Amino acid sequence: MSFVARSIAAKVAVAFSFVILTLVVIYIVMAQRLDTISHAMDNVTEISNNTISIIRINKDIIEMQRDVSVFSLSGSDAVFDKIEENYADIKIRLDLLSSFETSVEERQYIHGLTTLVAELGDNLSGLSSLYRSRNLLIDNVLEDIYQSAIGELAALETQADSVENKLIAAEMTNYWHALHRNAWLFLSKKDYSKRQEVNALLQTISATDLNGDEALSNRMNALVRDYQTSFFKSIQVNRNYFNLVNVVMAGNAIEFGTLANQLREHSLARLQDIKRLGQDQISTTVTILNSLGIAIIVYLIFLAFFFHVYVTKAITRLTLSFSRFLNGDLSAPINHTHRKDEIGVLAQAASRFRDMSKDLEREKRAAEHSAKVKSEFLANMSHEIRTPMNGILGMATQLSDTPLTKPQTEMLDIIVSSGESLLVIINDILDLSKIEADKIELEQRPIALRALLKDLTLLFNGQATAKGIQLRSEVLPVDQPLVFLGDETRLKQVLMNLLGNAIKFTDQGEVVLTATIQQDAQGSVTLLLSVTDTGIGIESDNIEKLFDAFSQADTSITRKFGGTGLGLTITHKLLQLMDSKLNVESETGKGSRFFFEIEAQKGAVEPDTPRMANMDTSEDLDLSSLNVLVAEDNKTNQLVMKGFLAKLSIDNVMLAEDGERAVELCRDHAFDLIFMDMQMPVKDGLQATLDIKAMHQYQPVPIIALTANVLEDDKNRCLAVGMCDFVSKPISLEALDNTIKKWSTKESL
Amino acid sequence: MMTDSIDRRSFLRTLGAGVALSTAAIKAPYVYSNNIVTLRVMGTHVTLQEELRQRAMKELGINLEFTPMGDAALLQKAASDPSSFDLYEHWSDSINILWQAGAIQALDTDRLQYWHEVNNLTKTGQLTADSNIGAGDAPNKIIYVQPDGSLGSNPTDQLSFMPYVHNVDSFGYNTQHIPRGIAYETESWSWLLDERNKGKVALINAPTIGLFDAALAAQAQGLMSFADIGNMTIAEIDQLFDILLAKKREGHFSGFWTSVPQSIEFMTAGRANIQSMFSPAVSACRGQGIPVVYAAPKEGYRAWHGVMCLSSHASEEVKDAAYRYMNWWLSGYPGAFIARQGYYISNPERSRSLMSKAEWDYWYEGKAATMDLRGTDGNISVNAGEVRHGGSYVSRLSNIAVWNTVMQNYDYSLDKWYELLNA
Repeated sequence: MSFVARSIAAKVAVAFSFVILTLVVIYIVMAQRLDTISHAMDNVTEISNNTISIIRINKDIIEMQRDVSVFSLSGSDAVFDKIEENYADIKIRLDLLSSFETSVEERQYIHGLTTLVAELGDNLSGLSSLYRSRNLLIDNVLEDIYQSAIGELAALETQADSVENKLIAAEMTNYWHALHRNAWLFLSKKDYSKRQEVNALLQTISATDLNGDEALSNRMNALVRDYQTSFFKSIQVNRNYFNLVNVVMAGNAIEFGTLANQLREHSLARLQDIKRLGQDQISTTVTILNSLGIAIIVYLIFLAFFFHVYVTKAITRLTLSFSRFLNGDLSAPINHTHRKDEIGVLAQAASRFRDMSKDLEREKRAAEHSAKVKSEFLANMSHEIRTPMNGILGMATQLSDTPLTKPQTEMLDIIVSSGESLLVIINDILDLSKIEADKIELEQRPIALRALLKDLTLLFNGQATAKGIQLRSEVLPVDQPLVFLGDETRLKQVLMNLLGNAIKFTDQGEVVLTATIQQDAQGSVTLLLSVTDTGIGIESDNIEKLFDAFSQADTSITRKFGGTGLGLTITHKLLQLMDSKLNVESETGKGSRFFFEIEAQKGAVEPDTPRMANMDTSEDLDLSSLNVLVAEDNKTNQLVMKGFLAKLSIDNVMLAEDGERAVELCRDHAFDLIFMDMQMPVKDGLQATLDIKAMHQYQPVPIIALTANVLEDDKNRCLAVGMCDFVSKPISLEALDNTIKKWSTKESL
Repeated sequence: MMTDSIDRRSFLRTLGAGVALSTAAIKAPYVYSNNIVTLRVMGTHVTLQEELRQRAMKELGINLEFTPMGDAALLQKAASDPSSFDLYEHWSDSINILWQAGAIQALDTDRLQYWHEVNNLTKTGQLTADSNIGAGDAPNKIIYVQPDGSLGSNPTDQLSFMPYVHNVDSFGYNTQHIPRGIAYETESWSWLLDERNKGKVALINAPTIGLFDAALAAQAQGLMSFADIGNMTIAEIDQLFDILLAKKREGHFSGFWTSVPQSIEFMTAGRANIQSMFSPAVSACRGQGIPVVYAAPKEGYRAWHGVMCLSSHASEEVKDAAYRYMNWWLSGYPGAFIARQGYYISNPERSRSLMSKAEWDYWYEGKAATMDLRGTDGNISVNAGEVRHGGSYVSRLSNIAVWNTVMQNYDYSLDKWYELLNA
């Protein structure tokens, strides 16, 4: 039973085996009942046949008995033949009847009938001879004696010599006549009173004296004795005959009738029994079948209900639970975990799934948290590093403008170069952190392809030339102009990484930047960008590891060629953000080809103002009249800013060490341009900006953020509070110059 | 006893198988002797028993041919053809016809060795001085050959028959349906016509017997009386049959049996609860678990007496063997033999020494059986403690109402009986 408790399949099998069992029971019941009814039908037929047969035999017996009476009167051989034929018929019928299979009781009856018929047969065989004996005695023997006596007496009368003798003879003759007549009446006509007269006449005759004729007297006496003896024999044969016919045979025939009647009644009773039994059987069968049918229906309904509640509903509930889990709702309840069958197993699986999902979620959150912490840490670190770097590079720049000895100039160059290298590394780490913290948001701005390629070749031309390799770019189809929507900064960063690497690992030959344009009718464009070099190439085994962070093909490469080794990882991840994938084809010693495809919408053509030209024109601007406020808590940065601004001929610079101070200064003075550090004590840059912008006179005044946080969020927050631009730390003179010129020009216009 | 033969026949059929082998063995020595007289005995199965035949042949050195027949056929054959037999064994009610028909000849008492031992039942009609004299042809009325050639009760030295086996009959009743009565006190022939037994009464289909049963019943019921029940007048017969016909039409009688097995079946099948019966049928019913009591009616029994007669055609040579056989019958062994079947012999004392005390006490003295008693077939026929209903030989044979008789008006009664059957 524990197996059944554990298995739904077993439950179903058991449940349906009950149905099958019931059907089998129904079949057996039906078969038995039908068998009984069929048997009863057979019995009915047999009984009615037997009854008819018995009635016919009885009729024949009655007829035979009637014929026996007829025979008694007529002695007709024809009648006797008919009797015998009839008897033979009866015997055959009865034999046939007793050959049937019947009940014990009926067999007894039939046995009784057979016995009676056998006795009738025995009696029948005696009947004829008895009849003949009787006739012989009455018609012949008695008649002969009588005739002899009459003859003797006639002779006596004839020979009588006297009247007296004649009279005696005549008287004797009369006696004999009377005797014989009375005897005949007694024997044949059942006139029983005549017996006395016969006896009296016999006495009289034997007492009559025949006048001394002794011989005649003796003869007459002998005749009288003969007659008397024969008369008694006749009485006996008569009695025997009537005893046989009227007592024995009649008794048998009547008994036969009685038995036949009883048998018939018995058969009728049996028929009634069979009928009642049949009706009982039928009604019982109907009741049983009805009950079983109802039971089966109820059982099946119960079964359906049971399986609905027990299986289907349970599965539905579990399915619902699973659906909610899959949709992230791990609070959904799990039922049936206590069950021991498959549902229970399923429920436990669901429970386990939920537990695992919760664990996973927790771990994911922890991982995310730790990644965020890491990213924040890195962001902070880079911020913290940039600030001193700002100082170092700013001071170094300013230092280079002071009179220096040649060795000092060389040392200062090394300081600047090292600082810049460090800054690249920091920027790379910062980029990666931002990517991993999902803090990169791609812009969708029009990008001019040709301008982009031109910028890049211009940027790397110096490096390539320095290494003695050729750098070129090409657009296919040749020089087709294209503007597409995308994040130019990031795309440039990707291509810069690839070009930088290509130049770095190529000692001779060339590096080619190729853009292949595929446009379609809908206005979208597929751009295949590839950077091909003739450098050292990468071993195929190492290609897979290329994009893993902190893993170059060979750590020795880092040592040999420098770099953070994060470039390709960043590139790879940026391309992933652009729904693209970086592919590599490389052959050791022959070169590499890095390529990717990006899909973009074509963009509207912007006025293609070369930036360099813009910058060139701006150089002529006089910025000396500008009143500038720098809100910056860090003293180094204050110095750097002051130095750079001085370099840009801006001397009217006021410094605020915190946001509060900046707001106060704004209230007391009129500034044309404000640089606002984001993170400051007392009041941070954002709040200060809001306060400043709340002052009417400062609404048109550009406030430019100074921030190490170049994350998109930060930019958005800056813009939201009313800042117009930002300069990232560490501040480069160039960037500062560009920004100031950009906003002073606008303002001046 | 007219129809008892049929029962005997079936009874002997079962017995015959066991006897057959010994018959052949014993018979052999005599087959080769031409001097051995063959005695042809005609009779019924009651006395013509194979065991007796073998015993007699062995003891007498004669050859015996038994021809058992049914009553009517037997009487017919004997009356019409005396040359067909040497000895005739039948009932006293056939004596008149046979004598008148000249079929039998007188026996000399001188040649009957045990005649002097034969008790008074056949000599005076009274076993004891207190005994009733039964109506009808009592054996003593037809045994002596009178000087005029007729038969009468005046003792002579010539007899129409040699008396031997006899008994009394009555009716049997099933105590499951009819409360057991007290012998000679409450048990009565009237029960046969009692309204309470309506539909469950059967009579024997034989006028010489059934008529007396019915007549005794009618008289005991007080429905009529007879001047001489053993010799009814035409008017009495008419009155009796008026009563019986009315009863029959009311459905009083359930049947008229013709043979002993039939009478057993009537009882066992429940067709009759009370009916004319012979003692073997009563034993058979009891054997089948039906508690049938063979009544000892206060009005007295219907008695019957066996007769052994000599054919009128018997030769001197055969006569000698016939007397020896008749004497053998009264010599003791046969009396003891038939006592075990419930029949009495005319000189019981000679058989007494051949019976155990228990047997004698039960069968003749009417005492309780001190042990289980076996019948001639070897089976137990009487269980220890049983008492013969009606008591001793003397008390039973002293209570005879009527002897089986062929009355003067028998021929008329025969016609009336036929009427009764068909009514």
